[in-house]
Amino acid sequence: MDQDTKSYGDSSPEARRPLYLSRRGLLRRAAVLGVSAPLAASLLAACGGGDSTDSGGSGSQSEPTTAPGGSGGTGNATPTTSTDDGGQATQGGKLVIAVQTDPSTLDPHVNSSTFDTLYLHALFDRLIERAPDGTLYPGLAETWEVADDGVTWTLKLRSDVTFHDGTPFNAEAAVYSFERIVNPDTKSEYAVFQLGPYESSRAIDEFTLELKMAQPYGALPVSLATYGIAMVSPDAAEKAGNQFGQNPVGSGPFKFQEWVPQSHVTLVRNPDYNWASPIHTVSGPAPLEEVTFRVIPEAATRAAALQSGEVDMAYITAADYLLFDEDDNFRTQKILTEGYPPAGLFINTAKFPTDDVKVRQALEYAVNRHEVNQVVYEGLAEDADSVVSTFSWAYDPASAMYSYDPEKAKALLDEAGWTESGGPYRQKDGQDLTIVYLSLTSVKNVAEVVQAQLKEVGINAELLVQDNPAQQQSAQSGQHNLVWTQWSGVDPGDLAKVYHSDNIGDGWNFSHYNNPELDELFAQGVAVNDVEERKKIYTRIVNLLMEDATFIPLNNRTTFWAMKKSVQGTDVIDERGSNPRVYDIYIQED
Amino acid sequence: MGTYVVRRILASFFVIFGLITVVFFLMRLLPGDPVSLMMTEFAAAAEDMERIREQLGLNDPILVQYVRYLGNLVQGDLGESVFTHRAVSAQVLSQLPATLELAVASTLIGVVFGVVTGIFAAAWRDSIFDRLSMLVSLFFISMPSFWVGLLFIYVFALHLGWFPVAGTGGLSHLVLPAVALGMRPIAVLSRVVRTSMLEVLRQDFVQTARAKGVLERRILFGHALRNVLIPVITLIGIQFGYALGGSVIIETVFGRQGIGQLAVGAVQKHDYPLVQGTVLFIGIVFVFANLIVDLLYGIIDPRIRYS
Repeated sequence: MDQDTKSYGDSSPEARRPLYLSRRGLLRRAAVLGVSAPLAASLLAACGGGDSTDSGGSGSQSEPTTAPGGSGGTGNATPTTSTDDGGQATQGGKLVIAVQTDPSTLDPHVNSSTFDTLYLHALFDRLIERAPDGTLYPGLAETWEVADDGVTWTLKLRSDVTFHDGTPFNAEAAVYSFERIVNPDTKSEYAVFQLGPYESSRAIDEFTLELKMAQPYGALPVSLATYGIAMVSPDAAEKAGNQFGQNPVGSGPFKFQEWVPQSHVTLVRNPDYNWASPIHTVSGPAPLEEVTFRVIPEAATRAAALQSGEVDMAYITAADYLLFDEDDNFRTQKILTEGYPPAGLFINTAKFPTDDVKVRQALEYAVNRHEVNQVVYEGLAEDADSVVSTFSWAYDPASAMYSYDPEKAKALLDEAGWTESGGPYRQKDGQDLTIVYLSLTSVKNVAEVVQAQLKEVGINAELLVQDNPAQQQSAQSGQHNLVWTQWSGVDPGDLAKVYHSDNIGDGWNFSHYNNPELDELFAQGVAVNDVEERKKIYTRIVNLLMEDATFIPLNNRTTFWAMKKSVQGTDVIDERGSNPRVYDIYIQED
Repeated sequence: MGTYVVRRILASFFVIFGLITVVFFLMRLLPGDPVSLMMTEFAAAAEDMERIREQLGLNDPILVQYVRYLGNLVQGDLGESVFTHRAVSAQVLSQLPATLELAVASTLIGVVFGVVTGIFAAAWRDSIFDRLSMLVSLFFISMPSFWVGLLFIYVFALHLGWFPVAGTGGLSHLVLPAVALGMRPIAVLSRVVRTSMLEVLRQDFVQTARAKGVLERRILFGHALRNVLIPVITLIGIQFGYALGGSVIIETVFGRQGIGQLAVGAVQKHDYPLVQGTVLFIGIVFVFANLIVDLLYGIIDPRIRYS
């Protein structure tokens, strides 16, 4: 939902107060002090509370911005600097990356913070790897196939893998990881749900693993590629118990060195690493000797630390992105996160007046998402037009059935009996057409733009601005007609969590959409193993949700990074479009 | 004085008990819970969220949770963080030194510079120094420390390059945040010292001293200063509390380790045990700092007696 925890981190309480100075005033003052414009501007961004980094857009592809080409398509773009002779990047160097928060835990089986893939992908390997475009690559499993019964999966594992503590990786070790994930004592917050109808696992021989599902589960290969289902060293996990998150031992390209809470996490190269997945552009031991993640919660300070050279790379805001983008000493990188759904507005189908599908469709036509993107995100977010991101394999162009058309919106409202009244708003039975728009503080500016657009067609949108989790509760109890959210995911099956009728009330079905046909389709979609079959089902789901006008797509969620010009290889992205994969990063001085 | 100290310490227990009780219920009165905030990146099914709540004991009645918490607390167990699963006491203790270092340094800076500025502003009343220092202090009283911190980063770290931008470590990492946090105590103290000083300088015993030909320097630092110290000590206690509170913002701005940053994150995520742990430790530090201040009165002014 509203993924707003991220932007909270970016602003101290005072940051969200109104601006203390006008932009121009501060810039002038900064000039007097000799502060460079980008910094002053990012200072402004911080003061103004315009600090929400991930705005909207989602997508899973990476777009290296210094190099032409590369972007556009889905999937990993071509690296900006080609690596020497087919994949061996410059060796050596230490990298300091400024991040916004500590990892919550480095135990992948517990962790529920997608931002932590930054660490978890460096420390651990998965059986399968997924590129943001949905392509699957062998990881520690060389092959995987499902038997005719539809529930028994057989995976052939690599035989040359050792954990950082010297424990060999084999089918028994994999079984240990699966059993650990489903053990309630582990208190898994993500991995266990990703495993779906998992029933059991066993080692057929040293390097052959069998997984049994309680029912067919087509999303299993994708699930195995998510950060939660990583392979951990059984010895180390057993010894550390529930402190494994402070002493992580995996088989990844980096070994854990230290974690000083709220200061830094340091990882060092695993010199024995020789089992890189073909998803990577490099192979063998990682190019970087050492990576340090420095925690700097305040966005403006992170930008300053990068500017001063104290860090080499930083997670930044959209406002800082534009400034670093113009600076020749830096490179920038945009990462699009896959959205199920992307950033947009859930329409409450159970509350008057949006319980009328004509009114909902009128809302769809009345909202100009391109204008929202231009006004709020300076055009940096990519428009979304369906209930899944355009680059998802479940995307169907036919589901992009609404584009900005105020005349159509007016006609639909007329049909629904809401007619012009002579006043600013349409009326029916002497009552104004008024809806409640629930917004998070961090995206209030989106709400204001949409509010103005709705007024154009005679709809009065009353804004109710709350922070999480108050907004979650308001939306669960259905006090709204519209609510802004964005959700990331790796599989269209994730849509069930926001549209299945089971999730009305206690869950995240903010459309309060109750459609038995849809519930049935969700059940089918997850229980089919064949990708083409699944695609047919999800195409139907996506079209159904859009025909019924349950969601107004706005844009794809985007995260922004900036780095010194010499930092390369940041464009191999994790499975859910959250972060670059640190393994591929290398330093190349001119 | 011994019985006084014992009584104060006993009273402190009640203060701290009240504090954690209020925080315990306040956190639970807020809408939402840690589980709903875990699931803000990706959607989770309602039943899955319910399962985690059950595992964390969040479904038990609040009073049951409260009694369980107190029971563990008297055994010295503060519980573990909902998100990191680390012991709260270890997590808080690892952050305490950095916060104390910052609070003590900023209070010291405040006292030294504040008192000196105040004395000279009073001695040279209506001079340029007096007017300028009072104007500047008004500026720093009004400015939020968030803004002052960022300004310092841009000027002294980025533009002049004298100090690192962010982080925790040696003296170089301490200077900017301590001064940024100390600006307000300097401003407040200098104004108070100036006013009190002017008042004292008008009194008869100062006139007498002057008439006897005592050096002006001795009058200022010997006779007058001692009389000004009581309000100053009171203020130091208040400013130390302010420094602890202000560390929440300064630690975030400067990316420093510390309890403030820990508390901010914990509150945002509704990490109940961690919020309670940070409040408990900050409460203890604050209560004891005030006790020390109260005892200092007697040392400075022997007429003050404790009973």
